[in-house]
Amino acid sequence: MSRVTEELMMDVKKLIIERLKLEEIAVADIDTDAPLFGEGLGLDSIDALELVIGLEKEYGVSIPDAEVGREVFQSVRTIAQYIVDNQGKEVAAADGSP
Amino acid sequence: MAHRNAGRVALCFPGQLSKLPDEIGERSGGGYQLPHLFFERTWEKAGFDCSSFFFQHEEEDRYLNLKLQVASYLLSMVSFDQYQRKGGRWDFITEHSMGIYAALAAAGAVSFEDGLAITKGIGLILEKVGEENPGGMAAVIGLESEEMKRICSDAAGDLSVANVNGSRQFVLSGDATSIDRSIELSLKRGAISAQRLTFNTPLHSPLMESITGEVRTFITDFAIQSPHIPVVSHWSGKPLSDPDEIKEFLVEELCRPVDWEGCVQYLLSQGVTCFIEMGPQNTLTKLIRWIDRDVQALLYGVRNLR
Repeated sequence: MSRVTEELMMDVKKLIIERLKLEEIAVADIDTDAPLFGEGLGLDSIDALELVIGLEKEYGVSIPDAEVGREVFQSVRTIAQYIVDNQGKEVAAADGSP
Repeated sequence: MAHRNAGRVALCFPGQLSKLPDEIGERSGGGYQLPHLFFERTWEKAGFDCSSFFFQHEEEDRYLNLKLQVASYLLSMVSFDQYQRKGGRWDFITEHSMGIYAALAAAGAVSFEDGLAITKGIGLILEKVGEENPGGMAAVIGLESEEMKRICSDAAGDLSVANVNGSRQFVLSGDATSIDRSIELSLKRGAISAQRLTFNTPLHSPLMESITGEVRTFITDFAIQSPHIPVVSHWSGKPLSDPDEIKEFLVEELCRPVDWEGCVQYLLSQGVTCFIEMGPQNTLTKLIRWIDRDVQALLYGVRNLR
């Protein structure tokens, strides 16, 4: 399993800011391990969809359903880990079949 | 507020809030004590005591939607008043769902007091429907239009699309069982999120047709004027201008879906380059971001209430 780099986590933060148009937030303001939804940055499901699209476009990884989404979108670190683990892989179908 | 471009500006009045914001909730110490003229007027002129209304704990759950509706109206009007006093300009007024009442008041089609009375009156009729015949609404994010239609037919109950908020943002409306089923189906078919909204009525669906008579009777006596500027309604951006047409809209819209995407597209076609949301949450701002990433969409929040 590949390791998550600082550089990748920085890029994930940039993607969040750019994709969500968070004009008043800088990369340094986002804590790598802080929750992104509810508390923390206070993102919601509409933001989640933006991030799903951003990750597909930028890294070619897809989030097949809400359950995976909940796991992946816990923090910047979990997003970066998901990219490292899934880049270049086929993702399971959305209907739950393997 | 500075305008960074010379395009046209649309003020957007959002529908019902998802929760009571702090400005008006527990921490404020009472609605009419809030130092804004509108809160005083609700008490003095409309016989509406915000303080006791928002703090009736024993009935909190029962009237949650009514409270949220009234809070949405008041806070949108406060935003609008502050924007106006700061010299903000606008070319269009538009609205989403229950945002119509504040939009009409902002456009001068009804007085502030009548707007509040209409919000409360229709809210009470909706509460009654919810108690007699419970239904609900669910927001589904991530699936496309065709899949939403399939889910409505597969749920095998009274279920329909109530809001088209974007190409992958929808709200469904229906009887309680169908709504639960639609959430299950949506998640199974890859929605990034599917959750019930606070509504206990199937708003913006044909199930509301049973109350059109009652709403029409309630609306009849209100004095409605032609708006100062066009109110672009949530049906594919059809501008409302005639008072009778507005009255009919207030009845019909409860039974028909909101087409927010169509409304935003219409405004974009009219040269709008800046959308400003009036209220405490940035719901519409985020939906506009999805519809057109290049257009400016921002929130003019409620400031300095205390």
